[in-house]
Amino acid sequence: MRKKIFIVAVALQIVILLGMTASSYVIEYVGDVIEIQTEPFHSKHIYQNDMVELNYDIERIRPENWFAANDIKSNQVIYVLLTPNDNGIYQVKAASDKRMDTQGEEVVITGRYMYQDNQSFHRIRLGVNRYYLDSNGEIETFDDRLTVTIALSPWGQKKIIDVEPVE
Amino acid sequence: MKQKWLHHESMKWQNEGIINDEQRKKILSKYEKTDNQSLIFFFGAILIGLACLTLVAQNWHDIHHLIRMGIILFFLLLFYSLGNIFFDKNKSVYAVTCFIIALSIFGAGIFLSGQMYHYSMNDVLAFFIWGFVAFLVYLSRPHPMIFLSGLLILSAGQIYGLFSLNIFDWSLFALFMLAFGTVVFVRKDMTLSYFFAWLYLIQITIFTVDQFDELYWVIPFILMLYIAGLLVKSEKIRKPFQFVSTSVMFFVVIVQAFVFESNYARDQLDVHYSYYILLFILLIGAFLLTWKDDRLKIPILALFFPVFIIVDYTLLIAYIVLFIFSIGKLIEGYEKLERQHVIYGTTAFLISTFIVYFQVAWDYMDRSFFFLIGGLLLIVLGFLLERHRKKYMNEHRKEV
Repeated sequence: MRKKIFIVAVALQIVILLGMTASSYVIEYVGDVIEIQTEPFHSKHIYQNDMVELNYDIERIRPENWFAANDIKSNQVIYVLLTPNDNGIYQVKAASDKRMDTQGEEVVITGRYMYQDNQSFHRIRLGVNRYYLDSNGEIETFDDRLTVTIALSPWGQKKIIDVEPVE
Repeated sequence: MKQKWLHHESMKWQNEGIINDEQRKKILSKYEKTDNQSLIFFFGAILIGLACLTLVAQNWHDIHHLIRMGIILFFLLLFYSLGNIFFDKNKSVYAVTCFIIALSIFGAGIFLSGQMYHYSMNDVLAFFIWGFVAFLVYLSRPHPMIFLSGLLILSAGQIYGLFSLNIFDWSLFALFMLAFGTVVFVRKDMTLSYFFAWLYLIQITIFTVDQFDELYWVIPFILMLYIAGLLVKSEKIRKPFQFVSTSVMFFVVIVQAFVFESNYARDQLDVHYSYYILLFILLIGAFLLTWKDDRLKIPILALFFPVFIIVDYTLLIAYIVLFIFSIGKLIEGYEKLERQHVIYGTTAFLISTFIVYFQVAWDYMDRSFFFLIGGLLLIVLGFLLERHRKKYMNEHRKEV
C-alpha cells in the first residue's frame, strides 16, 4: 500500500511539472490572443543586455474606468475588461476587484493592484513585465512604444508571444 | 565513542559476574559499528549535486526551457529513487534527507516553471499542491521530518499569502487541519504533536491578523488547542498541546502586561463583546473538563483570562494571572511529586517575580542598585523554593 502511495506521489509531481510545461505551449491555441501597447520605451528599460522591462498602457487605469471597492489592498487581484480599438489594440474599458462578463471581442485580464499615483490613476501589474530577448540579439536604443502580443488562457495564465516596435 | 564505552563497561560487568560472555556478545552485537563510509559517499554526492545546481543556476537563462524542465525532472527522480534505495536498506536518515531534497526540488520546480511560463500566481495554489505532495510522501514514507516539511510548506504558504496577497488561505488551513491533523490523532506520536501544535500557532496567528486585525483574537484559538488536548485521552497528544498552548499564553500575558502600559495602546483597544462571550464559553468548557479530569490543573486556565478586560488594571490582572499559574504549577508538581512540573512552576514564578520587580522598580531606582536587588531577590527566592522542594520531596518519599 505504502509503495503504491509513494509511486502515486512521485508520478503526481512529474505530471504537475509536465502539465505546467505543456500548458504554456497549448495556451496560444486554446486562449485569447490580444495585442496591447507599452508606454514609451526607453533604453533604461534594458537590463543585462537581454531583458527588457515592459510597462503596459493598460496597467495605468483612469479613475473613470475604476469600479473597485475603496479598501483595495496592494497585491489584490484586479480584473480588467479590455476592448479592442480601431487598430485592434486592446484598451481598458473597466477594472474591478470582481469578475466581469465579456461581450463580443472583449476579454478580461487579471493583474495585481499596486497603488494610486499622484494623478489619481490606479496602477496595476499584469505580471508579464519581463521579456528575454535571444541572448545574441543586440537591442537598439529607441524611444517608442512597443506592441506586445499576449495569449491569455482560460485558467488565468499569460504568455508573451511577440514584442514589436509600433510601426 | 559510545561503542568504546560499552565495550569497556561490558567487560567490567562480565568480570563482576553480572553477565556471561555470551550475553556480552549479544549486547555488543546490538550496537554494531555505524557505517561511516557511506556517510562520506553521501556527503560527496550532495556536494557534487550542489556543484551541478550552481552551474545550472549560473547559466539558467541561456538554457532552453525544455532542457531546464528536463534538469528539474532528472534531479527529482534521482533523489526519489536514491531515497527509496536507502529506505529499502533501512537507512532512514539518508532516505529522509533524499526525500526532503526531492520535495524541495519539486517546490523549486513549480516556482521556476511558474516564472518561466508566466503563470500569474493568483493564489497560494502552488503551496497547496506542494504541501499535498509532501503529505503523500509522508503517508508512504512516514518520518517526522517529512511531516515537519509538509507543515512548514503550508506555513510558508500562509505567510506568503499574508504578506504578498493580504489573504488567509482556507485551502491551506483545511489541508493543515484535515490531513496533517488526522495523522496527529491517528498516530498519537509526541514529536508529531509538538510539530503540529507549534505550527498551528502560525496558522491561527495569520488567520487572526487577516480576519480580525487584532491580535488578542488569537487567545480563543490557543485555548481551543488546549481544549483539544483535554478532549484527547492520549498523553502523547495532550502533553504537547497543553505545553505549547500554556507556554505561548505565558508569553502572551507578559506581552500584554507591557503593551497596555502605554496610553496609546489603551486608547486603541476596543474589544467587541462577542469576543468575551466566545472566550468565556470556551473557558467554562475548559474549566468543566479540567474539573472532571484533574482539578490540580485548574489554575493553569487563569492564563487564558483576558487580562485587558478592565484595561486600566491590565498590569495588575496580568501579575495575578501569572502568579496563579506559577503557584498552581508548583502545587501540582508537589502534589504529584513530579520534578518537571516543579521546574516549570519555579521558572514561571521567578520570571513573573522579576517582571513585577522590573516594572515597579525600574523607574525610580539607580541602575546598579536595581540589578543588585533584583539578583538578590531571585537568589533568595530560588533558595527558598529549592529548600521547600527538597523538604517536601523528602517527606513524601519517607511516607512512600
